[in-house]
Amino acid sequence: MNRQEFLDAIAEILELEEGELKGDEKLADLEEWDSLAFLSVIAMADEEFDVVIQGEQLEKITTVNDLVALVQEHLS
Amino acid sequence: MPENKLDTMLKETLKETPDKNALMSSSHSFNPLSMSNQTVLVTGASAGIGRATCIVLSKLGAKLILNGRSEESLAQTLALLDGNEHIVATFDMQKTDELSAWVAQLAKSHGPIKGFVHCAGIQVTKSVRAFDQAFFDQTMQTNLASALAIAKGFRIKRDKSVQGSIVLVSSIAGLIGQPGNVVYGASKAAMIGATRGLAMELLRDNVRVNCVAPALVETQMAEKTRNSMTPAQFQHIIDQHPMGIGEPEDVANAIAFLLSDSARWINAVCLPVEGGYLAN
Repeated sequence: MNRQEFLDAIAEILELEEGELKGDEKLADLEEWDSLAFLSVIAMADEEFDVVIQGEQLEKITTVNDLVALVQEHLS
Repeated sequence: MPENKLDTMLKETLKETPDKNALMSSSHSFNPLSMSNQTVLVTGASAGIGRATCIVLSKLGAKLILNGRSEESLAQTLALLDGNEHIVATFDMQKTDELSAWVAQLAKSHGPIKGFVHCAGIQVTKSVRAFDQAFFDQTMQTNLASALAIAKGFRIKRDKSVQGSIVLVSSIAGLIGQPGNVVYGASKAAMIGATRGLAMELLRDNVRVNCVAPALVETQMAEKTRNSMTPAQFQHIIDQHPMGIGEPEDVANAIAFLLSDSARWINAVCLPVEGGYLAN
């Protein structure tokens, strides 16, 4: 999965169009962003990349790029 | 002065009271949870509640058949048990249609199986926004279908003169609604329903069926849950537990009770083991 595909997977969780997310968006400004969306992204990262994200890391995430950074080393 | 009725009754009662020493020695050997010489199959024995259940049952004298995914983890469980007649029997819980023959073969090889405890299960926190067939199938298969398939094998050619006992490990997730945990909760709620149906169907086989419904217990599964959310989110979950989160042994003790002959008249129940979570 490359960066754009990861962004599109997040967009799907947030009920946005493919390509709509650029990365610099603040999560708090996205209408569908809530704790369940967060869980869905964590589950997706776990399934796609076998990445376990520590709880403490999650507290620091405020933008879409922060989400990408969690899995950056696994993106093609 | 003539003796009154009460005095007479008292004297008669004292005559009937057994020797105190005899009473004390019989109470020392009285173990209502004894599983001495009973064989019990435990799935999910590699870790957590399954491991703790094996340890408790071994202390009560049971001979265990340990099943799990990892031979290495099962060997670690085996090393913690009292007694030395236990058996490790790996088998893939995903092979639903082969499970009953496997159990029947275990009974043939190792003697009648008195009890079955289903601790095997998977939990993945996943919103319905990410729901798909594969996730549903895997959760339901591991958590529920495998239990029913094993029950099918458990009852084959049983000696019906000996009461058997099945204990399934459900969860409070099957009794409440948890966002992000819908499929897991559904599998555990289904297990509670299956407990009742199985209990009624297996009456003719002299097998009791009950389940326990633990709240959050300190296990690998809980650790995974902790890691899948922020510390604040996890703390919120802990705060909902009036007595704090439980230990695997707390659930194992309840399972041992339901398995034992002390619970011979307890059937088709779901026993919450949760420190008062549901009353909170």
